[in-house]
Amino acid sequence: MIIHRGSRRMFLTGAGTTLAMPFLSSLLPREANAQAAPAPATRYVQVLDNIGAVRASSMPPMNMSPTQSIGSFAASRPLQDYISANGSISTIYGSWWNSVAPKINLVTNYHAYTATRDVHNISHATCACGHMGPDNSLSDVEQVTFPYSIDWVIEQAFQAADPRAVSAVRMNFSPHFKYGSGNSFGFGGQPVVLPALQNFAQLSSKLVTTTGPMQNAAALQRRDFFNALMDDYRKVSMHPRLSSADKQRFSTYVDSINGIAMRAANAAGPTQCNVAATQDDANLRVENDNALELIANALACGVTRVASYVILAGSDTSQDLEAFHPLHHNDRPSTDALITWRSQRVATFVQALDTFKDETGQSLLDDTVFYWGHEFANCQDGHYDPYLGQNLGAGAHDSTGYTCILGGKASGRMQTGLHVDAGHAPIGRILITAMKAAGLTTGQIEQGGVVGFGEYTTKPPDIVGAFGSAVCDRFLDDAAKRQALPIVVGA
Amino acid sequence: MRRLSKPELIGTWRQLFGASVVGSATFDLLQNENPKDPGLQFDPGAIDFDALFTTVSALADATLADPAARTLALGNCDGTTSASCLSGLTDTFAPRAFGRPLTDDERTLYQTYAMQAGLKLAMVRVAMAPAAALQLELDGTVQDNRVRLTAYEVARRLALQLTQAGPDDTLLAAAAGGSLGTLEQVRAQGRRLLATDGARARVTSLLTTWLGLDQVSDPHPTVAKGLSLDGTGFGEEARQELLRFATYVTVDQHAPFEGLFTDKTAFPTSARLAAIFGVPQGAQPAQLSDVRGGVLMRPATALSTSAHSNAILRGVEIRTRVLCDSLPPPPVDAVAARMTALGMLSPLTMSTREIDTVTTSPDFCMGCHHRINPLGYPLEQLGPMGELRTEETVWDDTGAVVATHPLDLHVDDVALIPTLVQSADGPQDLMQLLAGERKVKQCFAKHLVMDTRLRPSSATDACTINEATAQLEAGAPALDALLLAVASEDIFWRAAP
Repeated sequence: MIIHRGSRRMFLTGAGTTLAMPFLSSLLPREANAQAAPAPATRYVQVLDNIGAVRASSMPPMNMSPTQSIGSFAASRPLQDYISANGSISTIYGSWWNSVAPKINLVTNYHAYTATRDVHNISHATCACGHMGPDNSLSDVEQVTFPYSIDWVIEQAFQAADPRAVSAVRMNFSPHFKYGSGNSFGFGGQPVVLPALQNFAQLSSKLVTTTGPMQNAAALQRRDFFNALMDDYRKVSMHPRLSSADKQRFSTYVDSINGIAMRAANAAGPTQCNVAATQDDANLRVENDNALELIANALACGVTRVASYVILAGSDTSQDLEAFHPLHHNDRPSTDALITWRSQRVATFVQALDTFKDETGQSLLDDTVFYWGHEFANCQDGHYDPYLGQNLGAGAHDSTGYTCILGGKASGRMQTGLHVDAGHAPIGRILITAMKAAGLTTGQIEQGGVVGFGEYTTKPPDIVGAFGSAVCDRFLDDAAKRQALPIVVGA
Repeated sequence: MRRLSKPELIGTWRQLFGASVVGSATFDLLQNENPKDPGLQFDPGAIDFDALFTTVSALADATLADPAARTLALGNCDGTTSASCLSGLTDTFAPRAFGRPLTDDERTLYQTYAMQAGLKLAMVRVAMAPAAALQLELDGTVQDNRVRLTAYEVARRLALQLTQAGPDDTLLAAAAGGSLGTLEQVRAQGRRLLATDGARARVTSLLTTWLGLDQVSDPHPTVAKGLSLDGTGFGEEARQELLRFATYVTVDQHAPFEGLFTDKTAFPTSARLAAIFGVPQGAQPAQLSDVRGGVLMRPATALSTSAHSNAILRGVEIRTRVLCDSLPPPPVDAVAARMTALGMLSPLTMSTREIDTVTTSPDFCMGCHHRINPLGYPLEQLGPMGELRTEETVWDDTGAVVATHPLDLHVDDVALIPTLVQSADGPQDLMQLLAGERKVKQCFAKHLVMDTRLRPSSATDACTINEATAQLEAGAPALDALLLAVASEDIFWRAAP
């Protein structure tokens, strides 16, 4: 297929004007900037790295580690400190995140507390959980570790709270990931059937036939009123008895009213979701950008409120997973380059979320929870890890020392703009943080009678070896398992 | 064509939504016209549609929520888009807003819109329509390069200028019945309107712009202490007292114009006003038995924000507002040079008049001050809070008397007009001179024109101003001059585009 760049841009500047224009804060309704109390987050979106690995030692610079204690074990530092000192939140992520840094968190230093240290499966489970539901047919190991995907859990809660979105709440979307149906790197070889839109054609079709169900009714009413009023003034402006000076005045009136109508239209959100973009198998950069842009539009248009996307490609021309796999064992520079390439894609997507407006006229990112997770943590050659305070072995696919971006203002539920050192927390705490930021209660989060989320059966040997067992024990009673990172307001 | 002023909008909304709804509403979003400069600061084209929408929406909400207000606005309407509500919208509400019946197209337009968007938004659309928010006057007939207005346009113009609101039902009926075709018919309606509360609002507006009374500051704390009074809020209290006095003389008493300068009625509604006037406190008007009387000899106009009376400022106000003379601003260098040359003149040893006289004595000062100081010195009989005094008192910060000075109230020439030398021996003399001076009446007539037409006066207004001046000279009440300024032959015409 051929990507039509012009068409894609036309979508952004044409039918999607209200989504894509660089909105000025002065144009936003006053109430959108001054929420009195957090409102439920309306959207959750996750991007997951397949064969992604981020070495803890590579981000952020250790000479600027967080110093401000938050909660009992975590610490934080403004991301702006890193940007000011180094030009980016981390070298490997690049400077594409700078503009949205106030609305994201960089979370580091958390680990998988699972019984099976089979790093492949554990890592897959933590990363690719968005592709699993309660009835998934994945391997036993993964089901034990995280038998419920958090996007599925969030979907259930959202649907219960807002039946309006039932028909279009979920979208697992990746142009190439076949969910085990013929893909050499699928999960257990079994196709996973999800009630979701899984490819360009489905999503494009959905967008084309969607007419903004998430629009702000009050803003729409305001827009329509001023359009009607504009007709009244325009009609008089053509009266032959008007002097030229009065005609000029009427011209000003019409412009003024039109401006109000347009601002109201912007605040109302898109009136039609029309997508002209197509895939471009020959250019993976364009293809992934288009896919993520479609998701952003789908979230803005109300086609979905929960979205999950897997990044497979690692460069403009390569998405050969079998070729990527050895990189984690043997080629750290190439692994870093792969993450950096993906970082640009994801950061561009988050910038789009920040630019687009939701149904209340505020930035889409302001009422969204966004999670970008990697499949692996530390990997490959042995090296000294200052986070862990010890020399690590040469194991690839390490499940110790994870890093993620967890952002979005979550309707005021999440503090952002921080590098958060999770203090050796289990990965379940990070996922609980995302879910609580999305507005879920502990009752909605916990599944199948399991306290917390996921598995807490084994303390990571590396952590115990470096810091002692007590560092892990503090996370393992029931109350601790249910806690979020102390960046969720009121959690 | 011009937009309606803020007072005119509020007056019109009072007719549309009812006094109760409008009385409970706030209009802070709407920009105030500058009452200190009638006509000059009024931009006839500027409309803040956002503010209008918010304000009128709130009024419509309140009206629909209140059965009595709803009935007043829409007749027998249950607040829905029932047939009776739609009829109320287009046959009662909108005609009041537009000052005329709707055309068939307009009736269809607004009823259809009400069905689509709801009754409230339809009310808001009507109230914000060009025919409601503007004085359009597009329906007349061209005669000799002028446009003869329709009866409805004449009615709206008359009502806006006399009552700061649209035509009432009686006036609309007169327009419909062909009873506004002659000047006499128009003046008869005007006289009727001047007996309504709307005229009281107009006179208040006129007095506010004429005397620059949009705001009166509180007195200097030292003065308040010296007089053993609480100065907080006194400025506004004094302002209200003056406006009440002026309305009383003009509307209630229908007194001749001179009364505005000499009438001795006061409204000592608070203990401190009573103390300043030297009469018992009470809700009813009291008669002053001293030299004070009229608009220029009461707390609001005499009040000074410094620790002493300000004869120069009083003179400037009379010269510019009452005589309509223009004064150039004092040259900054000259003032600075005088301050340096004189050093600090002490009120402990010199009276206000002595200090002002010395300070403004050079020829380059007297070019203007010979027309200013003589108007302020006779008023030195009033202290800095408008209190009557027999000597000038100087207080320290604690309110203790530290010096007194005898008053010198005589001036050899008040210089009202260049060709006439007139002396005055105190404030009463000055007020008599002002009340009898044609120039003062001409200035008042000019203010009448500017305030009612919301624009600076021009050569085309000369006839109206001269007629009104002559009427005031003949001893007519100010209200009659107001009627004449509005209901002149001009009211039937506008310039052709």
